[in-house]
Amino acid sequence: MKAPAIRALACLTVALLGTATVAHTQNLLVKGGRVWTGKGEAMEKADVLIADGKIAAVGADVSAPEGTRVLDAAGKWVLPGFIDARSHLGLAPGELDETVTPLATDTEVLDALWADRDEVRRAARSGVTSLLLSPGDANPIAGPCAVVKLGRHTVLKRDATLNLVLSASALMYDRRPTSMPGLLDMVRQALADARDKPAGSGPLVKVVGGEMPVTIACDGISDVERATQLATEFHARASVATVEALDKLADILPGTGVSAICPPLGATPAERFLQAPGRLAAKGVKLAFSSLAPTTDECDLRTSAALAAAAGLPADAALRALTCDAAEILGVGDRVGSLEKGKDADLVIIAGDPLDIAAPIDCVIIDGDITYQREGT
Amino acid sequence: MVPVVAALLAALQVPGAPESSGGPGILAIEGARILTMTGSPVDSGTVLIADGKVKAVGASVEVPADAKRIDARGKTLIPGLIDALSRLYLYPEELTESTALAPEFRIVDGIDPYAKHTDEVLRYGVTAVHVAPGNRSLIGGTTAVLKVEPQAGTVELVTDCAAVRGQIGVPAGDTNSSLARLTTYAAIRDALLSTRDDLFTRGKYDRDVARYDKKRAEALTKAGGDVVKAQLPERPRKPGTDRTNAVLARVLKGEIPLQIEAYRVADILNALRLKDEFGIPLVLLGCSEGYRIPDEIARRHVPVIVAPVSLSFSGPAPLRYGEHSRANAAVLAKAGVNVALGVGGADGLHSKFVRACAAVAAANGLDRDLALRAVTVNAAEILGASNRIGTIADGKDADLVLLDGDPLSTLSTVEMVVLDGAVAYQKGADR
Repeated sequence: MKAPAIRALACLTVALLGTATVAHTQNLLVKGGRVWTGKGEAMEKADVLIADGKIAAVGADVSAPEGTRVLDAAGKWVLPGFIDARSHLGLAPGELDETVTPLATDTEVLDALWADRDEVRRAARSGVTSLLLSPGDANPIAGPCAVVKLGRHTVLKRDATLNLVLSASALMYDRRPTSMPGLLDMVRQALADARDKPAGSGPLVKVVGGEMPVTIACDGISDVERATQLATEFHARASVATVEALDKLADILPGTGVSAICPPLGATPAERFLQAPGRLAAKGVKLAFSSLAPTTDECDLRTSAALAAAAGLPADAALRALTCDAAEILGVGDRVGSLEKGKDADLVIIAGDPLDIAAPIDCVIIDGDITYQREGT
Repeated sequence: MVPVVAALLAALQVPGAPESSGGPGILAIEGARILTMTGSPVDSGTVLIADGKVKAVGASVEVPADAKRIDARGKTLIPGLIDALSRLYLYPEELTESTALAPEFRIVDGIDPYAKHTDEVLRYGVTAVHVAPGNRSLIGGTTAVLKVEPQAGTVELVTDCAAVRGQIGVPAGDTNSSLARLTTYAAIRDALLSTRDDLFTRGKYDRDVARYDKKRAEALTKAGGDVVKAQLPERPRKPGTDRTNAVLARVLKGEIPLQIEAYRVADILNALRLKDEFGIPLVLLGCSEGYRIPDEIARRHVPVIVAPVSLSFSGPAPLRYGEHSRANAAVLAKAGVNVALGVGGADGLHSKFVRACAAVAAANGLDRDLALRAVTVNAAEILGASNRIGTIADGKDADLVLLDGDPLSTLSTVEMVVLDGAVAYQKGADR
């Protein structure tokens, strides 16, 4: 009978030691880089001080306590870590959807996360430090999405957004809904119930209360129109993710307050798609990029921004879409997306302009840990 | 319509003879930094173009008085980019046919001269593409290199036979079946073995016939031309049906390379074994796990077309690519392998991302100079087309791209594209 007790003690010791290690995360000073904080112009030759996994100071000539490890960033760009606004990375195939229940309001996608995977490490090396982990598209309400970190501590926010699916992919022949009107009715009813007779504090209640954003997956332009109507009707903070109708979003989203989650642009080479983010930004629509991994390459978030920039998206808007705008769309702007005192220390150091695909990522820092450092730097 | 089609057929039937010439007159591009891809860059030089070809390159080129001059000061001039694995000009179904062994098929017989998007690809500085038969067949046929035309209706061939395309383990890769993997290797080996046997039998018969003819002539001379009296030798027996595959025979003779599409280590090693056994010229295509065995590839001097570079460009990532790494090209090049990059796009339009692919490879460790070579001169050499494309040199096709900055930086834009000596795209001219 003593064995379990000893084991428990051992576990406790490990846990305590673990905590101790976290508390002593080395302080870091990223020195002399071109720092783009996400708030205003880039600062030349500026420093970022990191302590206990958080940003302690940003500015010129930041003084660091003795013993602080210094990373020389002279001649390099220093930015907030990139945020992938829609991904299934780290989910085992076949674990994306619970297809029996169409309103999977409480199905936590996070429970299927399998973070110890090569593709997760590869994504981190490409500068992605957080991502919205989304379930698949087989249910009208596909469940809450978590924002996860690609570093040591995986969960940034458990119920960050609620994923709605207004597309034919959520229709089934053997369970409701079987048609688009049926789907709309079902989702609208669920939202109306949450608004009119709120019970508890489930995701739907948070959505109609404006606490929790919705990310709405759409196929065609008519799906997008329905999504914006729904968002307006229920005063929900919404963003739409579409591949097919990306080039038409600029005709619909402006003025609705609904944001756009752009698909990987490398997969949509037509000029009208590459130019879509630029057109959206010009009309004041907030946007973010997504990888849709593992269907496409998890490492191409920056590639999408660079392709959009080459096709007319202003550089500053492209960088914001990769960082602070994505964080705001996902409702985690208080923690990530910009380099400000008190925010999570998620940084990317790039040897060149971040929107030049050829510029290598030199270093990725997540929660103050150096997650990746390029050989020879 | 008829003249267009006639012109097209003429172009298709006469490889090496560009249909669209540079037009009359001489073109001089002056003052650009010229990356010739053969020798060192010229900092402020001139390229002289006539009859669709480069006539002179250098810092001090005399420009004839009647030449049309283009001021390119402050800009960078590079050879037209090459996508070493494209689907431009192909119908989608071209890639799904599944005859087991069809080395005699030619991809040029299946191209669509009215294909869309060629102008859009050209505007990104891509002037030539390598197109290949589908990979459902074990040996799908011969591949081709085509120019990227600004207008539909014409297609110009650079070569109609860059290589014979085969695959090892490709469909097997989608199910990860070891048996299917071995089957593909064994079937290609078998085809090469039987072609070699047949070549041997044919060769022996030809030698026997020659010997017979000589002996018969001698016997006749001895008998004073009297056929009846002469002691004539026995005529050698003709071997059965001629199963010699002319195309595979050319591979065995070393005239054209066998281009094996293989992704995983086991399949790549099997392809290398074919080279060891038959001494054939081999090109590896795809090769996504090549970074695990760079020395095996390098010591056999096997060039590699790394494709896809990014899985975003190639469409949904199939299992077959195995452990894809963006550092693949860098690792192979460091080991001394001659590397070209292919977009390996899901459709033809993806070929516009050639420069983006070179940039991705560079960001992941490929030497910047090599990254540019991988989409110009190296690609041309590996595809057997360096006599015409891939460099800026006297006598080469005048396919040139003018950029406003570092060609590898995706912040730079393409300002002008010259195809066969004619300005095919000029930024701001049409849109």
